Amino acid sequence: MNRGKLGKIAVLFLAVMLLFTVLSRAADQAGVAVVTTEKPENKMITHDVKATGKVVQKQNQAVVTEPDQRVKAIYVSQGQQVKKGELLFELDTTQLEEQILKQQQEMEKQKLQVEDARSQKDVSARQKASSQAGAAEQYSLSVNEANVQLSRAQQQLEDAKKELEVFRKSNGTTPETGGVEETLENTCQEKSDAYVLAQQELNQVEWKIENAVNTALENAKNAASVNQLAGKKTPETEGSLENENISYGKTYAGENDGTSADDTLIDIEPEDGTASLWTMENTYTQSAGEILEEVDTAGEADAWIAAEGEPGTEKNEILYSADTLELIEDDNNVTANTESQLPPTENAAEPIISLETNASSALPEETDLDLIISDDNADQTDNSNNNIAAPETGTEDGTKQPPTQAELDQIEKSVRDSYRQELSAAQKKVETAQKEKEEAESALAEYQQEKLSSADARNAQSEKQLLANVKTAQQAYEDAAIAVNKAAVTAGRSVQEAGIPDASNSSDRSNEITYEQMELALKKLEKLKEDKGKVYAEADGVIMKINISTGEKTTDTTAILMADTSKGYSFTADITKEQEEYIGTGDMVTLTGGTKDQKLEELPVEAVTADEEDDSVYHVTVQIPEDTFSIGMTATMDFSKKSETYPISVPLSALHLDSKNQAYVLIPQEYDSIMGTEIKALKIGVTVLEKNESYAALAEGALSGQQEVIVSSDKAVDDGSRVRIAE
Amino acid sequence: MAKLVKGMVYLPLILLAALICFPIFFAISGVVMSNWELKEYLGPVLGGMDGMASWSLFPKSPTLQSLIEVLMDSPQFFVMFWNSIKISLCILAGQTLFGVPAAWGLARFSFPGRNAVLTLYIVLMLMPFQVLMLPQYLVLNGAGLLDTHWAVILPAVFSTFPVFIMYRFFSSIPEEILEAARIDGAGSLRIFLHVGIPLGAAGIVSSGILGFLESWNMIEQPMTFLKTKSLWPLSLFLPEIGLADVGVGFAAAILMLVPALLIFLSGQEYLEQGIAAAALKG
Repeated sequence: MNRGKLGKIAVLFLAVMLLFTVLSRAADQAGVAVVTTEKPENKMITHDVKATGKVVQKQNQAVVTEPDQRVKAIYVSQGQQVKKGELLFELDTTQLEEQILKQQQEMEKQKLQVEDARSQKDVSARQKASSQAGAAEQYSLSVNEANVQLSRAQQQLEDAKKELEVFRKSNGTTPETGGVEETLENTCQEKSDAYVLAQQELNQVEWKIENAVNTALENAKNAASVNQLAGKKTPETEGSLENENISYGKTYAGENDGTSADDTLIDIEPEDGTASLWTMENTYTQSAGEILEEVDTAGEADAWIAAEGEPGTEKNEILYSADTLELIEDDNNVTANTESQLPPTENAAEPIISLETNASSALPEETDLDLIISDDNADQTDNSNNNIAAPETGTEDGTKQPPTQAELDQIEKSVRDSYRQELSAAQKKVETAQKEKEEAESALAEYQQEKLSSADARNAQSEKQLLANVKTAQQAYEDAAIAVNKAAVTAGRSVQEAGIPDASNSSDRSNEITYEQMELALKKLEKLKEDKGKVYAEADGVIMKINISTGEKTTDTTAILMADTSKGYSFTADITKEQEEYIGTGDMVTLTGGTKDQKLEELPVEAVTADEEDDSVYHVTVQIPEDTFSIGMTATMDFSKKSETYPISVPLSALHLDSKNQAYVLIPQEYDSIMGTEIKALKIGVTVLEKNESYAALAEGALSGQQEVIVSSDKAVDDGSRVRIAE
Repeated sequence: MAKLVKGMVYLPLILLAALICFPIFFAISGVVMSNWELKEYLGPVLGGMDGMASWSLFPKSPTLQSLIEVLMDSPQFFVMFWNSIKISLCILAGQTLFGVPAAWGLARFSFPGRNAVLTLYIVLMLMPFQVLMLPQYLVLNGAGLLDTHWAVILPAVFSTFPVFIMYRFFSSIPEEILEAARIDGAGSLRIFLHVGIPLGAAGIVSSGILGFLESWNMIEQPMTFLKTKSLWPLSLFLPEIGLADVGVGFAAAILMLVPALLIFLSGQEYLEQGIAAAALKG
């Protein structure tokens, strides 16, 4: 290759390189963004709020008339200005008169209903009083009758005894005073009394349980239906229950001598300060006292208590179910039968031992009974509280549904369970008393049998007969005493039931209210008739809406809607949430509107409220002076809020946000490159103090007042982009 | 038989030549290779990828994208290219202007201390750049020439190496020819211009070619004395290349090879004489 060729190639190569130098530079410059820069300014940020709205009335007025009236004529049209007292529309008076007549007739009917209801209520009250009086009478009769029976039985018993005594006297076999037979008889009498008392007590407890169950179930039902009243009613019920119990306790304990029954019933008398003894008011009392003197009562009583533990504790330890009660009752019957059939064939030694045992145990048993009775009242009160509290607790959680049968059963069971101990104690006492009574009787019978066997046959036969009479009379007396108690309990229950108030009946008052309402409606119709069916405007205003039409009937809604111009106008406009930040109540705005672009300046903003549905929209209300704009007119509101002066304010176009929503600006920065000194954009993070649609005020520090900031660019520019500053 | 022996001699020579030429093939195949392929091959070296670097002389998807990118999208390459041209040509011109008379003077004039000066030249020539860097920097800084192209050009202009090569050529001109010229009435300048330069042209050209190649490839001097990037020669373009644009690097390398190759081809025979002359210097 010769040098000439090489030289040409070299020249060509250089030419090509020169060409590509130019081309590559051109391509490079084409990719460089041309930017304009500005220095931050020292200026105020002005927020302009501009919104278009309408002039509206401050208050609407609804014209309402009686419903179901035929409209004869309407004298106004929508948008019309009316003065106060101006005729709006007219109703047909013929139909109005008919309606008045009809209303009067309806009222007459209603009045009769009111009277009927009142009469019905009076009758009910009388019936109620009558049934209460009847129950009270029935109570008195039953108790009296039972008492008479008891008196007779007592009389018969005494007769039988006297007869026996006379017979013995005639035979010369009168038992010596303080002898074995008399002692046995007295013991027998005491045991019999104790049995009667125990039986009465059992009846009382059973009644108490039934009463408590009924009360609890009633409360549960009431609590469900009248929840609010449950708290008030409960204490009343509780109190009444307690009072009843106390009254019964008094009656059968014999502490109250107000009734005839008490005289024949059991009495409590403290004797020698050692113990209480239950006696009958008859001749046997004295004999019993004599026995007591022979026996170390106090010592025995202590021993008994020590052996058995505290009466109250004992009750708690032993539980009986309702089934047990029935069994025990059955057992009692069986025992009674057995007792009557018991053959008197024992020897003489055993009755004496039996006598001592019975006599010694009789007194503590009765003492125990006394304690239990006094405890029972307290226990029952406690139990009543507990039982009533159970349904109350159920109502506290707000359930107003009536209790189901299962719930009622549950309540009944819980009440019965709470009384179980008391019932068991009473049953046990009856059982014990009966057993002791039988033993005492058996001992007496055996003694008498033995004694008679030694006498001659004829006398023995007569005395045996007399003794049998005495025993029969004794049993009859016991039955009568129990019957007195039962009669009192049963009749008492009837009295209580008769006292339950009837369900409330408010039909009479309800009818009265209806009548009053009808009366009011009639007055309105009559007023309309007085006005000859004409309805007038009650204030100056503009007719906004007419809901009635000629020939049609009126409804109970608004007939005509009027804008009440007497209350003034206001301007309302919608603004955005951003605008809302700059305008507030009291700010002075300018309104421009009307055909001649009338301008109202320095009007205060009355309210700025958020839209109820769209939280990005706010309503501005501005009060307008009278006689300026008219209702329905469109107007424009202008408001300008100026901030303080900021030393570094840049055009909003210079402000950028990065991916973390941090504001930054770009500044041009020269740097040394292979191409020479070039300019690139440098990112500077800034804090925006305030901004409006065109400018943003930045915090000092990151940017100086002399630093040029890129405000616009012909291409997208970011941190590090090469830029060229436009001349 | 003779052909077989000849072939057996050529075969190792061809293999050796191929081995020596491999960098050239390497660069040429790299220019037409896709970027992804280059990454695959050179990733372990340049990109920190696992495995060993490999190479294929035949690209899987040949493309001229790298070359176009250098030519169209890299104005920086051309800035450095023209900087290299400028520096090299200035150095060549300077060496010609100052080196040729210096060599002629040393070869043909006898003056006191000539041998000492010659020895100093040889000593300076043997000193590597690292030794001279600090004195040069201090001098250039004192002269206010740092960070200008003159900082690279001036030291190279007064380099001792071309003077030494030309000294050898000028020394070999027979004294009789110069005597004849003098007899014909030629003065010293005329003898230098009309006798010395033509007769020593081979030495001048070979020193020029060597000087061009040296200045075209110089790296340490511009890196040391030039701070402004826009003054950098093309030799500093390649160190700027990373794995992302390794294709651009290959294309730039090939383009950089072209002027050197043209210079070399144009003065190949003089260069051989020059290298031979240099070999004799020791």
